[in-house]
Amino acid sequence: MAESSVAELVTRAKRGDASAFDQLVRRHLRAAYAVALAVLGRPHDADDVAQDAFVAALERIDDCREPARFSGWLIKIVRNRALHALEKRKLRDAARDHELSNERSFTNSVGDVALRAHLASALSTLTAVQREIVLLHDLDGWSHAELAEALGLSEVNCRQHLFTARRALRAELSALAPEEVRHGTGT
Amino acid sequence: MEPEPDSVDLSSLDPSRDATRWDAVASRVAARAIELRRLRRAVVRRGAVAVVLAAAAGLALWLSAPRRAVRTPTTSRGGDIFDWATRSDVDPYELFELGGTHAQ
Repeated sequence: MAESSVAELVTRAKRGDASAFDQLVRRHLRAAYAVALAVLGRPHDADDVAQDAFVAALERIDDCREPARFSGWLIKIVRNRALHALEKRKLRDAARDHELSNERSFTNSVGDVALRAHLASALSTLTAVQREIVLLHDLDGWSHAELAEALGLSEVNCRQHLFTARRALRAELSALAPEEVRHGTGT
Repeated sequence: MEPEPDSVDLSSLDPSRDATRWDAVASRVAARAIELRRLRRAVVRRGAVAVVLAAAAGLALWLSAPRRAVRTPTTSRGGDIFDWATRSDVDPYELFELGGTHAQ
């Protein structure tokens, strides 16, 4: 069966089709997580916020007036929620450092935890838009065209941001832990 | 332009690496969204019904309420008082005192 387009899925979800909801979540949850991570910097918090924001967005799916632009609509909701969560977090634990030991779920080894910490630290040196672009592109596989449409930038601009972000990330990771910088697949 | 640097491997940050957990999370998010949307629609539907019923009840009460007799406007007594006050047999001191009492 051919994959339904996002616009079709949104239209079906508006009619209450449960399988459309499920497919929308499976296709976009990681992007929501990437955007939340770009704002919050902590995988654990990003995971929670992405899920809550996604639930809130789907609950109000009728408000999505342009189904073809669902991704852009969704990431705005996620970003706003993440910013709100960031404010709350700042108030809550201003003096507390990020405790890696609290990270649950998808961490599974000491080396992994260290690498995640290095990545999070390196990502924090980027600008917010660079973080969103590098995470959506390199983590969720968004194309420059998709990024440009969702973020309201030109494709050239997206490429420049990605270029700068990757170079800065590499430099930062080399400085933090030269032996742990993993090289990509060469894409 | 310089060649684009290779992507940094961000897979350790990828929550979908744990496929079982990720699948459960996605299912849970979709189920919660469907349930909340259903609840929200039910609340809106019931709210609309409640508003219509309340409006109908209000209208029925208003229609069934006994009508009050139409009040006839009272005639102004200002003219009479003026006539009395300007009559020549009114003691000006009495009038003055009356005015003073009212002024207090």
